[in-house]
Amino acid sequence: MKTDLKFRVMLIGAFLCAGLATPAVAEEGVFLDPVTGDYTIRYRGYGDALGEATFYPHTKIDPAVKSKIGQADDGSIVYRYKVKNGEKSKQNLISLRVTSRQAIANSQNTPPGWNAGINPISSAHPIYGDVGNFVSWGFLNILASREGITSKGLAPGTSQEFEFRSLLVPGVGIMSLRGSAPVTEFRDDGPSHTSAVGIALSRLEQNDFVPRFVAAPRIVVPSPFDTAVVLASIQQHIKTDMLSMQLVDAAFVIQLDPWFASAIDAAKRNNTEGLRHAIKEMRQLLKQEHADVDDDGDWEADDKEKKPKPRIDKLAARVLDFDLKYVEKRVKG
Amino acid sequence: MGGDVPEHFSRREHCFVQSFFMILMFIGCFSVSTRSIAADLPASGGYFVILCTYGCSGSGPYSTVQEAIEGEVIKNRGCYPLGGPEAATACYGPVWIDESNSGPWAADTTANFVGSTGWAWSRNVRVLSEMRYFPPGTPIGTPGVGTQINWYSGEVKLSYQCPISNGSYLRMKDDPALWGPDQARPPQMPICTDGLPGGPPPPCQSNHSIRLQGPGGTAGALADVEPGASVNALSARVTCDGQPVSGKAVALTADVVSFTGGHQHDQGRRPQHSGTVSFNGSETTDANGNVSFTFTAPAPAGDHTITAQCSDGSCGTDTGSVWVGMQGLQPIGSGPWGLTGARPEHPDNHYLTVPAFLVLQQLGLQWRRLYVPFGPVFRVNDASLVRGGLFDCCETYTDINNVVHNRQIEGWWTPPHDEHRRGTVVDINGIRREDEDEFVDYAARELGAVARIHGAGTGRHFHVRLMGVAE
Repeated sequence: MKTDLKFRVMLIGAFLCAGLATPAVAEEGVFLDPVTGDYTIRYRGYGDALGEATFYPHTKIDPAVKSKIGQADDGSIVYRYKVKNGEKSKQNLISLRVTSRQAIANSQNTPPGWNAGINPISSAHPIYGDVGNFVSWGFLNILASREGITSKGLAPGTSQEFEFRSLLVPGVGIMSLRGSAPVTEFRDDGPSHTSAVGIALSRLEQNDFVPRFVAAPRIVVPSPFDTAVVLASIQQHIKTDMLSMQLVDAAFVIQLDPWFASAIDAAKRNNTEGLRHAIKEMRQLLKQEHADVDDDGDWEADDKEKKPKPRIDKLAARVLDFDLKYVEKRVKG
Repeated sequence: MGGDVPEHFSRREHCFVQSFFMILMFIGCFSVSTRSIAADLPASGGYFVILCTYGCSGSGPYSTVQEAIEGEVIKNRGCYPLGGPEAATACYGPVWIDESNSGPWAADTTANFVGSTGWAWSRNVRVLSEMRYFPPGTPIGTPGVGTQINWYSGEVKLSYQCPISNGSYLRMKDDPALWGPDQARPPQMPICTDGLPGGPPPPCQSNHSIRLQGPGGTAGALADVEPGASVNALSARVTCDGQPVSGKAVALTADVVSFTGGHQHDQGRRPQHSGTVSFNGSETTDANGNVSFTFTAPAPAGDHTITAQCSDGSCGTDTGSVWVGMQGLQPIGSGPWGLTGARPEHPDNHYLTVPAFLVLQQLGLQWRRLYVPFGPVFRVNDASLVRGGLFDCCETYTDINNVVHNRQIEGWWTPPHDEHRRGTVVDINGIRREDEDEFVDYAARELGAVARIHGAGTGRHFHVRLMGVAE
């Protein structure tokens, strides 16, 4: 994935860029209204006319997302999310999306008023070209009205569960969530896309969502099953994605590394006992950080920050523990 | 076109007129001079020289060129005998035509047919045909029997043939004294001495030519390049008798063909919107006869031309084309939508890349499934032109201050549209107001697209970046 984290960095950059490019009293620029949270876009249009429009971000929400991972009877992995729109949100939550290289068609649940979709993304897409599919849900008025639902999406303080299935083993990914907002309108064609204002606005539009870490399909499972390959993929996910997401300390990664090497070596030599021992050691390391790491049945589990701070985020630890259990189970056959 | 031909003459009429006058000339002039040549024809050993011909095809002994095209150097060569084709036995081979000696004559010089009626040859007929007879040993350039040699105009190409046997080389030397003061001549015009078989060929002096080279492109173009981009793998090569010529200064010019690239309007197009050419280094040829250069395309798509010539005018010209546009754009075609927005100046306004089209298709299918079960789900307005590039919509448009602009007055080749250049952006009309926010969210959530409203009143529409980026 062209990591969603990059988007967040870009978003911050866009704000900075807009601010730098536009002094407080400048004619042109992108100006944040600290009261409303909206942006005033002031630009030179055709004929050098000064135009102005309002960009209403879809980010005035404070969502919380909890993930559950399970295995269906057919062997596929079930990804469940409980999405709560924060009490302090200023907008109803109307859409959410995760990315996945593979998702099982028609495996999404569709809560009343919500539309679900799994949409393949072209590899030519300049931003999302390597994500595979968008797995998303959106609240639609037309569906809600058929159900007699009057609210538009998740009102602040309310929650909703969503789920889908995939053949991929979980890693940590990013869910993009959006609140309800008016459409941005320009009386002409808006600022030139090559102008400083146009570039800043484009970045706002491309990053117009709130990100949250979730369990998401990340680890490809080869067919026939190859234990060493799957373990290597999990290890790579930790060392690259989780590390860059700052979900795990480098020291903890280093502590896991020899056990991954041992497990992979054992798998290549069909040394089942050696493999189980290495997996057991890794799970023990995770349990030292989060005692309830293997407790995946309770939405209300305590996710409050612990002191001292664990060396691996709880979501990442749960995902990794699930993956190791999955491998162990497959080895048992 | 023709300097002495009324402007309203068509090419065909032009040619007819030229042919008619050629016949008149033949009757008026060669009825005298040709006979005197014919009378002096030797029984054997003499040769005719046919100077390069240029102009439309026609009848008469002067024309050996078929399918001649005005403005091109004709490579055809042939041999007509004095008195016409029926006397073909009087034409001896080989006939050697040198097309490289473009002389210092001005392009608009009017040639007079000396000794005849004084009728001025069309100044656009730049190379004339001449049949001359040279007895063995005659220095080339000497006014031949009954002929004059000062009836060229424009870039006259002269050719000379020594009376030597087939396949022999010529030994030549310059003899300025053979040229009269009123008879312009190319520099270092050689003369022939007696035919001398064998021996090394003389240094190539006259048979220069220039050829443009490139990586290749659409429809035989030198190269393809996207609007606003550059291609630097272009070169011009100067040779003489096939051998590279180093140290030749080369001049390059660029132009663009009207009404190409999807633009059926031309006001203000040329030369402001032709590409630019710039040398990558030296403008003189290297040891391989090459000089390399870069072509930078303008924002609009189109068929562009590059013309190369030696700065001293000694190697003729060569013209190549550069295809400017986006490759791979496809017409949107029919679908659950309606198409709109085509205008006479931009009749093909519905082109997209395939990935962008698939996003549009998904939008259409979603709207069909959820919102508009019957009829067009929305109207697809401007996407990109057939080859992308600047889409200078529209003849009239309104700015933010409600000022109406008229391109017929203010000029074309500027935005709007600012985007719509690479087949990934489309305008959509007809989304119901109550569905607009869901349209924006759906585009972003499921497709990675970005949608916003542009315009006001009847021009209000969704501007959709189907691939999420502005381009």
